[in-house]
Amino acid sequence: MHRERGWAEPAAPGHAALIAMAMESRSIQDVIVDRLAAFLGPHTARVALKTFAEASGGRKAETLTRADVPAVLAALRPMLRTLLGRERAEGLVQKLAQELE
Amino acid sequence: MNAAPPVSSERGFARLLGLALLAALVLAVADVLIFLHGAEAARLWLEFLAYLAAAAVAFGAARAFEPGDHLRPAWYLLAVNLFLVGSLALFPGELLEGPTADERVRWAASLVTVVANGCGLWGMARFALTWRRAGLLLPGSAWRRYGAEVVLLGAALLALGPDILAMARLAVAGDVWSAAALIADLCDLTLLLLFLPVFLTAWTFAGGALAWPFGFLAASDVAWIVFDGFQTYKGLLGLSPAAAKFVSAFLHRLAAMLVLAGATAQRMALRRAEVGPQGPGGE
Repeated sequence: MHRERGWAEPAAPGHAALIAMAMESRSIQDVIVDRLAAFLGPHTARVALKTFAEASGGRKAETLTRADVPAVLAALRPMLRTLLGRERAEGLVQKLAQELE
Repeated sequence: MNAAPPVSSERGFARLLGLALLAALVLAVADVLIFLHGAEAARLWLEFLAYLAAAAVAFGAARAFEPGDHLRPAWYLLAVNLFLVGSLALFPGELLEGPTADERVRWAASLVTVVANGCGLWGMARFALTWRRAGLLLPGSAWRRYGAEVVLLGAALLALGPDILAMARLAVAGDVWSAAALIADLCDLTLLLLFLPVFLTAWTFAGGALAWPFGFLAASDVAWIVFDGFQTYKGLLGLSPAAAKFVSAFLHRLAAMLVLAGATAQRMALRRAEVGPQGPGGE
């Protein structure tokens, strides 16, 4: 591809920056539901998040903030352990925690 | 280097259903062809090997979980069930029934039958209770589910009732093989009651990877009960011996191949958890 000389090439955004940019446009609810839906299906993923968000701190799923994430993930952990096993459930919870940092 | 285009995950799971049906069909055709050629020993070994393969894959699904995980013993129990059901093929029929029946062989086969059915029932019960343990809700009200269970119980009694009565009469008369067959029938009856929670769990996970192992196990339950029903009523259908043999073999192998597909689907779902839905295991 042709590029004009003398212009500085814009720095490519790093992986973390890309995730951060994407995160701005996606709510915490969307991130968790997307991850869970791969296993539970979209409907049950939404219902599970709603149930466990309310159980963990009395919050509605759509109003979750980053401060609520540890409690919500802790509430989801037993369900994920039952369905995926302890090791994979921990891996999934860690991935979610990293994405939602 | 271009990466291979990602294959739809759901297509990968759906392919398992086609493969299970195809494997059951091929095994049933082979069963009938070998039967028609009179090579009974080869036929029974083929049946044993088909079940051994399904048991090995179920064993692999169990090993994919860690000790202490809820579904690990469930898959181990199904693996033992498949191995033992397959090993029953190696007990010579003439030593179990008829004038040359050997009492020791009948006791051994009876023990294998009871243990196999117990393991199958216990394993399926763990799958049936998964939703409760995970803290999920099944669709439909509790009353609707009770109603559906009553309908299923009726269907199971229709399929198994005559055989249960016949076996009970012989068992009361002291026949150990009939007592084992009676226990197997009662286990199959209970198995159909477990179909509903397993099926509804699959339904609950519709669109997700975990729908597939539960769905295949529910389908295997149905194959078993249709097999039992066919055994009870095949005399009324006016089928030729070869046709009856084919249907019987197809349903019997299908039940095993569906568990094999379920175990494979379980491993695919777990692999998805390791690498993520877009990763290489997601296909």
